[in-house]
Amino acid sequence: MSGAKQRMRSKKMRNQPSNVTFPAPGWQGRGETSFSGRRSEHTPQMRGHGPPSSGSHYQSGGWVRGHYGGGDVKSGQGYAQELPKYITASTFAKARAAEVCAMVRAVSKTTGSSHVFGALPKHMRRRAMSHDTKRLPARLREGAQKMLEKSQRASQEEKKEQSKTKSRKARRRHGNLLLEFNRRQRKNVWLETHIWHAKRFHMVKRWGYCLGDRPTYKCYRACYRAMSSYCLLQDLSYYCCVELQGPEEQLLPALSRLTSKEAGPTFATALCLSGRRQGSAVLYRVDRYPTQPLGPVLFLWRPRSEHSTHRQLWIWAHPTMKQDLLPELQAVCQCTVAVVPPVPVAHPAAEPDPAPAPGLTETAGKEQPAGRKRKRAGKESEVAVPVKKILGDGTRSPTTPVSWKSNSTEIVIRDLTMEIVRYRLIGPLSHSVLTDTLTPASECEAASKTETSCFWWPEHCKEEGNMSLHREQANIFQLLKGVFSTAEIPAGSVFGLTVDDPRLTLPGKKTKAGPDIQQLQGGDEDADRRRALTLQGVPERCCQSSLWDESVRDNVTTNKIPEQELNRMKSELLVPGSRLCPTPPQGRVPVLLVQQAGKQVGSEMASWGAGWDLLLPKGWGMAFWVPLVYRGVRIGGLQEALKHSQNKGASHFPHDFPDCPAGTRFQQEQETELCDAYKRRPPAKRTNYIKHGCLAPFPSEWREASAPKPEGATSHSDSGVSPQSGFTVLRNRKVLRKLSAWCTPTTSRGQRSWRSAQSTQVEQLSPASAASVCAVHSRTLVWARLSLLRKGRPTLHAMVCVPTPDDIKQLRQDPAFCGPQEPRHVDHFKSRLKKRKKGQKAATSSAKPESLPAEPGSAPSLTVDPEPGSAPSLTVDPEPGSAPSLTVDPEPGSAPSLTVDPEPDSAPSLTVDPEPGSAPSLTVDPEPGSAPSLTVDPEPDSAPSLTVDPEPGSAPSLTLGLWPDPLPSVTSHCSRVTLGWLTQGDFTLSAGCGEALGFVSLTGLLHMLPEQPPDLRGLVLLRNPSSLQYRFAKINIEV
Amino acid sequence: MDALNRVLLQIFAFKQVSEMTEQCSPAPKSLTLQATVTEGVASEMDPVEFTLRKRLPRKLPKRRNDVYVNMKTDFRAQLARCQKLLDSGGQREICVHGLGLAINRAINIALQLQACSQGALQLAANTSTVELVDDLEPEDDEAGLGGAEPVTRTRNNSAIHIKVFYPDPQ
Repeated sequence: MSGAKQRMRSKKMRNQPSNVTFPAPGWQGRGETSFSGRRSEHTPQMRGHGPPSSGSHYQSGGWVRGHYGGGDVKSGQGYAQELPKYITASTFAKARAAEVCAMVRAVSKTTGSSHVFGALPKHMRRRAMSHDTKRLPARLREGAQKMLEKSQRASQEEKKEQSKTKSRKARRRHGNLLLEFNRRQRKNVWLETHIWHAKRFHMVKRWGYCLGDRPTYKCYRACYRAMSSYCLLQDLSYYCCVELQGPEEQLLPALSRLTSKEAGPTFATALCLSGRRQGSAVLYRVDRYPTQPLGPVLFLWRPRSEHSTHRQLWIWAHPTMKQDLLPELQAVCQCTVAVVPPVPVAHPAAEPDPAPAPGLTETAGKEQPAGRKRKRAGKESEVAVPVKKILGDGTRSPTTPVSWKSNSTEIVIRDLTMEIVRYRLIGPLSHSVLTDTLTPASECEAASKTETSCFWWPEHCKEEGNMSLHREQANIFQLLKGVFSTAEIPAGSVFGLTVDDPRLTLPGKKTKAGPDIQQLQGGDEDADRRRALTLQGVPERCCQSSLWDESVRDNVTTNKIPEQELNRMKSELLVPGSRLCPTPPQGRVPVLLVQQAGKQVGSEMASWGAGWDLLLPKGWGMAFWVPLVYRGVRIGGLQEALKHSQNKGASHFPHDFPDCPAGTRFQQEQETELCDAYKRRPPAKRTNYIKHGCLAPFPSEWREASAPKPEGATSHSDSGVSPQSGFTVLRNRKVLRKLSAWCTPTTSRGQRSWRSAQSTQVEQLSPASAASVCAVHSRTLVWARLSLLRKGRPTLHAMVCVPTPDDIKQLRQDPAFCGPQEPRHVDHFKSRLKKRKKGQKAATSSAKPESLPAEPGSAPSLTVDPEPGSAPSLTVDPEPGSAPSLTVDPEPGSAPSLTVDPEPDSAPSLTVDPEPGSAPSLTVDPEPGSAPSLTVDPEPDSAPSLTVDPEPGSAPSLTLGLWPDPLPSVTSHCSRVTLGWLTQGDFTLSAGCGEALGFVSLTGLLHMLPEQPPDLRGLVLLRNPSSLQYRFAKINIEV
Repeated sequence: MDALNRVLLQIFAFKQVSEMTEQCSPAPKSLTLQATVTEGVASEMDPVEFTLRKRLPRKLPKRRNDVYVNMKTDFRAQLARCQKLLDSGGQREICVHGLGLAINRAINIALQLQACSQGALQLAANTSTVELVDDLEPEDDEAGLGGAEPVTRTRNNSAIHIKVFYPDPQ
């Protein structure tokens, strides 16, 4: 009987009194025992082929009646012959009444999902019947019509209930819409470009923000092309900015406790300190250099002003890192006194048009009550308090302190999250896009210089020094037009500028910016200055920007001309479409431009993906975004940023920092996410990771990987390793450089690469030198880039393994050799899972005797050790143990099912489980439970016997295809020793082969390298979790 | 054609040699380039270490008939690309550019193209000098602690631009 039929039948039987049974119509065989198990003796009496014996009058109606007064059910076969001598009318009628009742109920009531045409056989059903009753046979039409009306009515009612009290028009009205938007960003912060993104991107809620993950249109390759030949734009405003103010001599010693010179440049780097370059550093907890990292940050010093030693420093960090970073900063700077934010007062700035001002002055949460108040106040008071658009962080309450000062030092820490908008332009022509979009601010007329103004620019213009600086900056900005590629500017250059409102020069159509050919060839003077720019970078003077001043930022944000006003002014122009002239005095914005270096490591694709970051005061996000988009740039989301860093060979923050707290959190989130996605798939369509020998497909077991290999696994709890994270990532540049040299083959194409030749002269790779490095850095991971030699596309969490000498020999013989294969592993959890599932089924539905003998049969196969190496210890222990259960079994037909193993191939390697304790439990446990269950009642007894597992190690949460919790040794589980895992991997369009970023254990790597032949040094094997194929890859450690 | 080849090669041999000598003399001698020092010997060596990063050569906007020759792509592929541009790409002339080590290859490609055309194509070679920029980033560049400023220096390299064209029928 098919499953569907059976289910329908059981549904029908649901409302029947227990003494009524139906034989299955038209079904021949014994299958119906599943639903009428108690009466299985009657099977031969089926209509049609039953013996034409005494029971015929029951069969004619298809009924088998249950109760006949007294003890007529003496024996299963004989009761039909013994008709009662008499019947009591009342009891008989009562019994029949119950039956009639049940029948009437069954007929009249339609069960849950069954529609009228459920009565039709399947081959007569048509899809269109559901809405066109005329397609039904005439006898069913009436009922169907009724049902249809009913359902329509129901849905209408439902709709009516759901509908909002307000009409769509009312909801879309500006004020109400803003209210709704403000309500929606109470939990997750919206960036200023949120609405723009939400229309075009798949949005994700991450790190307390709503961020665009990837565009909804297909653009993978287009985004790559944009990054490598034109420009890709990304909104990075979610990065958190922390501002430190104080005297330089106090800041530097404090900050030096967070960094280490061994791990690269620090805050005190000369060029960065002058404010000419943006720097980057990996921060650690206070004085915990190698063990407890926090994560990478970007930092920017404000150029020194002439008369004070007071410095300003911006630290840009990822939002997940901020919560760890702030306490550390407070600790080193001893800034413990929280400055209570001032009571929000409306800005005194009296603008000519007051309408936008109150809306923009205030930040964050304090307009929430205002908005609600308005709602309560009533609709007629439209002018009372206009709803304010949230600028900045909408989740923060207005009373949360955002700045901290110190009693002992003069340092002040301020949290500038969401105060500054940061856009990233990636691509060689991003400077052309910028020069096309931005125009240096036009100077004020001489007349206005005498009168005071509430705007910052006229005031700024009054000082001649400021103006000369502005002119200088504007000249340099013009020079940028003649630069062909962004990579020509020194990496990390900072450039301050004041620009006109870019909405004024918005082109009517999308255009594409390119370098100015005239400028490229340009005069000699230009060429010389451009040469100076590319060699020395922007002069220190020009790195200054008013963006650093809080008052200027506030003024600019407050006095932004709203879109509506601007459009009105444009519409009043005499020549439609011409530029607004003169520029309104509000329309000057200070910005900072920061060059981002491209690919700096490795030899190929140098400076790929260089670009500019554009820093703006808050509130101006969309005013710059749309003009940038109109220059034909592509827009990317988080995924594109990930691809960018992958192609660049740079580490991406939460992904590639598993030793940082934020990285750990990210790994856990990713693990649960992937695991849930995996469990959502039907079991038959899942990858069985056990069979692939992949112990941990989702969690990357860093802990295990970084542990010393069995040879040196003596000091497991060595000192210097923090308890919460048992490993660290190696960031010591000297050691990394040494490793990098060791990983490169010494003779590639007959010639030594200059780099490796230089460094190998210092110290040759030998077991001794490797051991010395290993001794200093135990339990360390090394971040590495892997590129596949031949085909293959590495995926997330693929395993990095050590090739055996055989593999390397084969590769040498046959350069086209793809790689070895992992032998298929045996999943001995699968049968246990099956068993348990069956047990649950048996417990829920009426258990049938046939289902039981299968269990003892499959039980021995559970404990079978699949390894062929243990074959000598082959015994036939489980068989005799389970044999007694056979004799108890009443049905002889099920006996063969016991001896036949569910997995025939595992039968020869049948051994007892190595654990001695489990063997007896296996032979004894299931049988006593199931043996009595057959004779008495299967239901209550068999259920516990099934849940009790023969093996003690099995966790209650068994998932098909995943190894249950106590994992065996991860490193030596497969035929090749595992070295590490990948955090990112994909086919790289820039290299034309699969490339991956991942971590390998330093101990394992140093064991592997000396044993490899020098010309093939640094070769590893990669294997995806869902594949058995190993592929050769080249390991590159780049500094 | 062989004559041209020989002449070109001689020019370049001379030029390269002269540039090498020129480059060698002003090179700062105190720099220990890329000397990766282990912890043990660090004290004896020059404390200032630099990392060399070469910037990309300055690029000019590329037309459709410009072919920049490099040493990574297969020679035959580059030749086929040029051939295709001339045959079916609708170009009457193409420019083959080579820089440094790729000069030989650019010449080779041009000559091969000409040889395959049975005398229909003509060559016109131009040479030039390209200024390249190197960044030297000091390892230890903290201000006031005996660190060094990052150095940017330029060096010159030779380049060739060969115009491969069908002469005007006159």
